[in-house]
Amino acid sequence: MKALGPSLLVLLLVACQNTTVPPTFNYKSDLGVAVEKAGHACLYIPDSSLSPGQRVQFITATTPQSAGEAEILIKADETCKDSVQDQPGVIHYSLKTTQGALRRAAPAFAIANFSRALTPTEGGMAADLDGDGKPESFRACTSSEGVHLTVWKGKPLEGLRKWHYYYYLGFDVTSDCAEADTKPDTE
Amino acid sequence: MAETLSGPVWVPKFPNSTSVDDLVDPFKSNAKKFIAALTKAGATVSISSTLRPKERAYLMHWSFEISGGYDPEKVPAMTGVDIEWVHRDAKGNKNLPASKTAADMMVTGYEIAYEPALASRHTEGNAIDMDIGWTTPELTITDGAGKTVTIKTGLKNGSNTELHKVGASFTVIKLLSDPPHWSNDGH
Repeated sequence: MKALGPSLLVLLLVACQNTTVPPTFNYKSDLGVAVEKAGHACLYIPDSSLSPGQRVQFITATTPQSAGEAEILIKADETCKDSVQDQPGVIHYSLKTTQGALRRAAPAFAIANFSRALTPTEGGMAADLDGDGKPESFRACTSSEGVHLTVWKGKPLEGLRKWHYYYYLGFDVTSDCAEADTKPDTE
Repeated sequence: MAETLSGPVWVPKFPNSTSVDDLVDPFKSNAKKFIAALTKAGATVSISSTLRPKERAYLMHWSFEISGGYDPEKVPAMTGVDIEWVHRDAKGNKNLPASKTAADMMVTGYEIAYEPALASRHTEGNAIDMDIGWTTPELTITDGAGKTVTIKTGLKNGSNTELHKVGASFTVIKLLSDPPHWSNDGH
């Protein structure tokens, strides 16, 4: 077999560089919470690399779930600073809703760096976040004074819990969570 | 005393407290001792809520209900809260839309999207919400029995199960479903 000539090698290298590899979905950094409070839409997410203009999809956590889109406005905006929502590594951004609507004072699932479709199903919205062909589902419930938002591989409470976020409300509500919703991720 | 019509004027009344002094004994003194032990051990403690007045819970609960369609005339009165939930027209007839609009404005002012509970350990003065954290490799703390406890493993925050045992030694009990919440009986 003839050895590859330099020009063919260059062509191959260029072709490899131009191949678009879909980014791997990162449950730890690509999921967060969007909420509208005091007239401002805010995003709380452990990803410091999001930039103004970047698109974020959201799923409302109240029933019936619905999907929407928002755009990052400002990173670490003072209007979105909220000491009770402070969690290690979580960055706050201000948002502008571009499609759908956030329900006032109710946290919604925020999904960054994800461009595939969010699909309505009988049990709520679903999305194949990690691209493994098995859709993830979204569930929210209240504990004594907060909302537990969870993402599950398959059906909520039956599948594997992939993500969990506690959103502190600051007032007492009636709890409707199961233990599987509220258990900490790791000790 | 004349009653004041429902509306946003009520929202700043009966504010929540972040002071341990507003709790009731024996929980107040137990919480103070636990916080003192944490501070002495080098942990940081940030209190977000102690007493939530029952009057505020009443106003939040019933404004939310009326906003959702509950008949304002059926709302029970509460001693110490001279609120008139029923708005009337010039002829003295019940004006349901005006009553609902006033309740809507209260809900907006309180920023509530979930039904507030009427009573809780917070309204009794038997609960505290606080973020606890430490950065040292170990936390050496004196428990309620005067025993020295060194916490070497687990999360370095209020979710640490060893810390829950220390809290229990002061009869400050962790509610597992709500990370910042501790009370006199774990509810």
